[in-house]
Amino acid sequence: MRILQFSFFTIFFLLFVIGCYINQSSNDESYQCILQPSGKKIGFNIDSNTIAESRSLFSFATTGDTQYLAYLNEYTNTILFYNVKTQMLEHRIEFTKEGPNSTGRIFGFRVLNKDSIFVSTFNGNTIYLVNSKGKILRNISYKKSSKNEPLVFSESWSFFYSPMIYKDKKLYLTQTPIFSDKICAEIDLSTDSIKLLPMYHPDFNKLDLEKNIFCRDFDGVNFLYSFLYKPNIYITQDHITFYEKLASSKLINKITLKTFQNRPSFEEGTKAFIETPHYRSIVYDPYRSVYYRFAYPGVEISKKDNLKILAKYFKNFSIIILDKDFIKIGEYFTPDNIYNIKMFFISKEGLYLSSNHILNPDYDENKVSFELFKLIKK
Amino acid sequence: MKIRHIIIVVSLFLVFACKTREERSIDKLLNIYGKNASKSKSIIMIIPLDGCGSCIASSISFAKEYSKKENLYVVASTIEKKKIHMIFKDRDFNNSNFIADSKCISEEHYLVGTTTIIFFIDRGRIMRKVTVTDENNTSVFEDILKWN
Repeated sequence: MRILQFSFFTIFFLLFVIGCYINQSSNDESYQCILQPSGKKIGFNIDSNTIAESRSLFSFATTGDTQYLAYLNEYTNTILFYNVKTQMLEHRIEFTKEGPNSTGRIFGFRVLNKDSIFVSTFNGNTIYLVNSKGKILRNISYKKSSKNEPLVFSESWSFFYSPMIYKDKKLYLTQTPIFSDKICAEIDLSTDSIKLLPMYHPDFNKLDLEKNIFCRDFDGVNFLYSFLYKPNIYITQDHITFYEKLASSKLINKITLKTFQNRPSFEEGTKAFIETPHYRSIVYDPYRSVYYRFAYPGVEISKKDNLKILAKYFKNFSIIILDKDFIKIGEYFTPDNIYNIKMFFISKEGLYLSSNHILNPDYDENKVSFELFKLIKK
Repeated sequence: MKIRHIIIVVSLFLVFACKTREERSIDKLLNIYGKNASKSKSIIMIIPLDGCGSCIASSISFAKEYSKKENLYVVASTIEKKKIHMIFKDRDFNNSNFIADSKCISEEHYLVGTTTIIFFIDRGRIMRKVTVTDENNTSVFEDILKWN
């Protein structure tokens, strides 16, 4: 009897040890690179009229190499410019919604330099080019292409990374497929011609348009597309030909979309959103010549969970690292309820990931906080 | 035979007396925030502040303008307390019919999605539920003012 008890104990002990080992090793693959929290934390103070989350924030560097974080406060229609080094607010541009020199409501923007900023407004699908004082220098309307094809409003967001791209006097706007399966419009600023480019959404869903949204970035040569439910990223230079590269998360095996016979209730829709994995932003890091792709693995909902928090802040996620040839060279898995998947920016020092998660014990609604992650090659 | 009749009558009474899930959720929402919509006719206007910005704009304006209306309960729902303070100033906060739903009870109970929902209540029962849109907001707001 004693021998039997001893055998059981030994087997359980061995299983426990093996289980621990397997669990640990899943974060310890032989990748070439790791993203490591550096411990450096920065915070930008915000006033009582600004909330600690923005759908549009972008970093840029001046010719003097000063790095800025431009942060859109949608409630006051203002872009705030913070000096990343000093974390001080140095400049702001407030946009008026009515009257002369008004832009309407700003959704997103792209900073070329301090005196040339493209802002995206719903105002009849218009992009305004403004200077550092908010003076409109040019307005670009894009309701239809030159061939009379209807175009979709392009927000130029960062939370679901899809900024407008400026290249060779042309603007490239994402087009969430609604009227057709096309995903990019090109505006030639020297001729004012507008083209809907041939590249199409690989999973165009006519019935559920929300499933068509995607993220995109540009590395100077290639446009990179990250579709919600696609493990591959799509790469193109001309939006005519493109190729795919596997950029999947270790946390996401297969994505099965929940189907509903009728239009799902808000409750059903929210639960399905929380439980279903998806891919999000893809961002180019020009300082290290790598790409980061954000992946949400989905979570199982328990009774004690606050669905609102799960749906808005995401419990955890991973950041996939791709090298210049789009080969996966690492993946970082965030701890639960610490980082915000929607806010990040790239700097010379590394990737700044926001710690403005409402369940983070350090969360402060009067501060936009980030932690620096360093890319370390093994 | 008589017992069977009694059982049927009692069952029917219970079925009709039972509140629906939404009615119970509204009761819970009001209770949690120490409110009591005891007026025979009341309106619960739930505005999801994290919802579609342009869709909720008209409701916010209406709620501010008629914040003193006795039987109108305005529920501003978001996790971020600061957002409620930004949109509804202290003047609205001091109104006893204003609920700053930072616990997101209304969303936890699926009373609201991404646009404003209005419940027309009569003695605790939902008489009408309306989703506010750009198309119907004028007529719905007129109906609110008539609901006394």
